[in-house]
Amino acid sequence: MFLTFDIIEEHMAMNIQQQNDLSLVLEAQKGSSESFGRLYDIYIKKIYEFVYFKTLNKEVAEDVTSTVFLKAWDKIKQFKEGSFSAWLYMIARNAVTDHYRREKFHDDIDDCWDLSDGADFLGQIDNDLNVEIIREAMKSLKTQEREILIMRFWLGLSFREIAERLEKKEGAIKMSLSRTLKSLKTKVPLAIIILWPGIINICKKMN
Amino acid sequence: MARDYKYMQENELRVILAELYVLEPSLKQHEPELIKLISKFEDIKPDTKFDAAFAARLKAEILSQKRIIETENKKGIFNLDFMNKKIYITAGSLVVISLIIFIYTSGHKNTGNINYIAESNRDNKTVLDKNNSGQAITKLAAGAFGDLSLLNNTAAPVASVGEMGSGIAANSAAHVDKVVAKRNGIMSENKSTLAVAPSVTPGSVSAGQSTKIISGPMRAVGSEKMIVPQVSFKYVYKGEALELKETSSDVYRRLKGNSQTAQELAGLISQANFPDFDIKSFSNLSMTNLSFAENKDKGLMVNLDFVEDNLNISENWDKWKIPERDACGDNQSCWDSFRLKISDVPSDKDAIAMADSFLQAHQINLEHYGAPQVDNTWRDDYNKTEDKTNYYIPEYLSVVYPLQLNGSSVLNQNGSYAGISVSLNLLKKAASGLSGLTPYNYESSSYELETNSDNIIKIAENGGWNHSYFGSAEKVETIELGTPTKSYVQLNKYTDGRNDELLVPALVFPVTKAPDSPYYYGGKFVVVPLVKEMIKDINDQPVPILYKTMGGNTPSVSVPTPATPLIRTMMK
Repeated sequence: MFLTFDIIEEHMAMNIQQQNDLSLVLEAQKGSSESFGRLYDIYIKKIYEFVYFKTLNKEVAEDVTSTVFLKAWDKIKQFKEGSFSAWLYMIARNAVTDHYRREKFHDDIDDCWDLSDGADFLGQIDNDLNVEIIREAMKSLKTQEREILIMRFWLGLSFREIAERLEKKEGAIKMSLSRTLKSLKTKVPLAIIILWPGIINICKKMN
Repeated sequence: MARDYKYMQENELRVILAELYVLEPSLKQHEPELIKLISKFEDIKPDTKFDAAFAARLKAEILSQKRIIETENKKGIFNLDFMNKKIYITAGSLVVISLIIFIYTSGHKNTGNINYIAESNRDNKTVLDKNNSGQAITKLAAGAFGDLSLLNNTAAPVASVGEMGSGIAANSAAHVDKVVAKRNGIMSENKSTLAVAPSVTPGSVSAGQSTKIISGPMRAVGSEKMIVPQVSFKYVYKGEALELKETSSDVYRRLKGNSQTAQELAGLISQANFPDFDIKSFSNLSMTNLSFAENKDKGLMVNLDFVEDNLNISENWDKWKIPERDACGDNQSCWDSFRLKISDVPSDKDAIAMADSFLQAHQINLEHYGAPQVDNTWRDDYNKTEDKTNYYIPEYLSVVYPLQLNGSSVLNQNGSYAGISVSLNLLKKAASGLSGLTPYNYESSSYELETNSDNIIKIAENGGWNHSYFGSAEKVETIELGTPTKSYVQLNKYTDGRNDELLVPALVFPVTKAPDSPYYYGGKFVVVPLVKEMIKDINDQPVPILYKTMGGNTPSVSVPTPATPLIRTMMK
């Protein structure tokens, strides 16, 4: 009963959020900077962290995040329908890819986890991060699988929220994550990947 | 509270674990280890280093960027790169942000936000016209700007008038002086040597002329310097019969002082670290003014006034010096060698090309400004002067881009164009300044108009707004006025420390025939406001006799008009 209520509550909250987003988008499309400013306030931290976990570098994350919101503001009139957050995350995803393409690491790099061994990788991430332990596992995943992991455990999004941002079915997201975890189980200590950000979220709320 | 956190922690942990077990049931067997691991992970938690200051800066950046994009789409003249976050933490970009916000944003926010509408008028406002850039005219209730009677105003700042060569004494801070001060304001700000021609003030010194030039025989009245001309002048209306049917019309008031923008900029500044003081010790900051200068040859100084919402560009004087001339000392021939010849003055076409180039280089938006006009007022004096070789050719020339309202050009109170004025330094052969650029955002409110044409003509024949009085002399020459046209006239209304910039409907009477007398230095137009309460004000006011003097301040004395038989002095 509790879980059912929880789910309904989450669905309602998401619907309200989407409606709010859309009304703000409509105003922004008419030129209201105040409305876009409110959208910005809602998503700036989420997008920044999404980008950060795909780049693991503060400077890069800030640059890419700047690009994301500037582009969103520039192209706001091109947003027609669907979820604004999905649209924004798509811009963010592309911006990260563009960043690595521009940096000429490789043409097919979607985020820092695709970087090759050695200085390329370590030179691009904040040196105080202990990422080597999970790097091998992440490298073995497809981009979308990594994103689901990041979104669920590092960004703390629910399956429904992930589904909305990736424009997939909720069930498909769950299945994908399940497959990912099983494949990772043999490669690294699973808890490290899964619990690291989960703990962060909890700790943050406690502090 | 601690219990709540603990509950939250445990609850979230259980949700995470439950989800994990659903996805990977075998993990349940290791629950104690997993829970234990949780506590250890606190030490290795990655900090995403999310920076709230970064978020605030980026927000300001983005909201200013929008205006650039809008302008690009419309005009294609702005192409600034704000994409690199590293840029906007520099002082230079702050200036650019400020400028963009100032010119293209503040008005947008004003018009888009009811907070900027006077409290008492909120229920009555209607946005009449809003263009792509968000600039607008907002309709308020009738009479919303209060009493437009100028005599109710407090003294206007006129300190600079005496320097402008307008011939009006700075210490005559009464109504007429205020009018003249404003009338000369925009165009004279660039350089005092090229002010707008004064209106019909027979003694006034023309812009390009030395103050040693005397207009005619005079004698002192109440002062060693005050002299009365041998010739007097009078206006006579020779135009068609006037039929004034309009009983009311809108008056416009420019919206300015966008405190929100100023606060955003102050927010950026307040994040800076100053070695000698703590800016954070100040609170509720707003930006009132921003100035910067180019440190190069022919460098410019730029001043953004966020209170008045205007942009002024002038010479960074140190970078425009002519050392050889500065070294002339008492050597008159040396000085003369630097004097301009009439052949040095560019044609109107070339002058406009210089001004255009300057505006384009600085990407000034001319959307609300009309075709440029060169201010050749000084030529009137030049043409009248017999000894042209000794005539002092002005070193500065102004090109004015008239402000447009309802499809026509806005005028100053002497009939000259109001708008953006670009100053050209003729010695250096370069554009060197700009004034009069403001966001195009106005409120409008309806006011009752004068419909009695006899009254209007009577005021026009008294010199109109400027209400000039030529005194009496045996010889009286006639200045003929033609059929007027309706236009909007820009003026300032000072009330309780507040300076309102108004655009009011007026009739502009052209001088169709001016006296040939060398003593006559009148203007080319007589302007009469149409707003009823302003007309009453003009009828009630005393008028000064303004004569050219031998140099120094021009004294000013009032004489009674038919409407005000008592002699009142204008001196304060």
